[in-house]
Amino acid sequence: MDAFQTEWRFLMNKKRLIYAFSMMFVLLVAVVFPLSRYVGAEGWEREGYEGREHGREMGEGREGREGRENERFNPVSKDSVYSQECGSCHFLYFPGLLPESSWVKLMSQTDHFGEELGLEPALQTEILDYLKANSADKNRSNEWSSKIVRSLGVLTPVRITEVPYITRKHGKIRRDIFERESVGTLSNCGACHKTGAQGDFEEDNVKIPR
Amino acid sequence: MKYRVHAIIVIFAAVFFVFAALSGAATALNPAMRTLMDGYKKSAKVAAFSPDAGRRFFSEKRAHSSGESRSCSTCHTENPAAKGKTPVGKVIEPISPAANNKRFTDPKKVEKWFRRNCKWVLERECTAEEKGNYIAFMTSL
Repeated sequence: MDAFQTEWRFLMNKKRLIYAFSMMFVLLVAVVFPLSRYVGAEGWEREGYEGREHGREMGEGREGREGRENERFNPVSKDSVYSQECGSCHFLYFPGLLPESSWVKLMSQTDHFGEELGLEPALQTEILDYLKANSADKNRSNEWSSKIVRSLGVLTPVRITEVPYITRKHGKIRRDIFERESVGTLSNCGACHKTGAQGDFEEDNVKIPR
Repeated sequence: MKYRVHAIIVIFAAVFFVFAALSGAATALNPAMRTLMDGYKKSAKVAAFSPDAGRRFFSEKRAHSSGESRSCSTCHTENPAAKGKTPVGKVIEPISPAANNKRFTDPKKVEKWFRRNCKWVLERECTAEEKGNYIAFMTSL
């Protein structure tokens, strides 16, 4: 009798089979279920902001993250003017990443970081209205927006990379990583934040490319 | 009998290839785009556009006031069928209509991007002749 047959007979014993199945079930509940809250998290109900502790800073280490529900920015519709006009050239920054005053300042500049936007006035207004309505100050129920606003104080930067909370979060990353061909610049969020385009900037979903 | 079947297959293949070669040699512009091209022809006062001039225009590097050397191919790469990259790293779908059939189908979009990108490369708007040659080059691929 070869090893496979021995194994098969062992398994086919009814009691052991029930035992094996129950162990698999326990494993599923004990390991896969809690893990899925961090990894996939798509199909799972998320608790409201009220259920979360206030005032805790991100990046305090694993223990600080425990129990915290997955956060994300509201996705931007692909057909929206904002997505069409702005997302063709750069990562579609979520309006919740800057306060209203910053968006107003940015959109009133004729020089857009060395480029001329040449937007039609009607589109310009539509984009600014969208940005204002969803800006970080209007989106404070979102943990990140709330932290961005608090870290800013009276500052109104036009660059997301100048938001103190965001620079602090990226402070430990070696500067040369941002110069890699696969990344390009610090403003190319999606290079490392693989789920960033969907509004998810969780640290667990970050993967720095070579 | 056996060979007759072979002959039929060969004839069909030949007809197919001739047809593919004829229709694939150039991407046909839709009516709206043909109207745009006619408008370019009128303002440029030329009878036809030159794909070769378009090709040179596409890869010509020009000195920019920022000190950089800029060209259409800076972002679109030297191969119009390849994916490009914006200065901030966002991927640009291929500019060649042979590789991306959405290209050069909407006159409004075409005009918008010429306006924006000509300013980036040339620091001025493109002339009707430059735009016509550019599209002629792209559709010849």
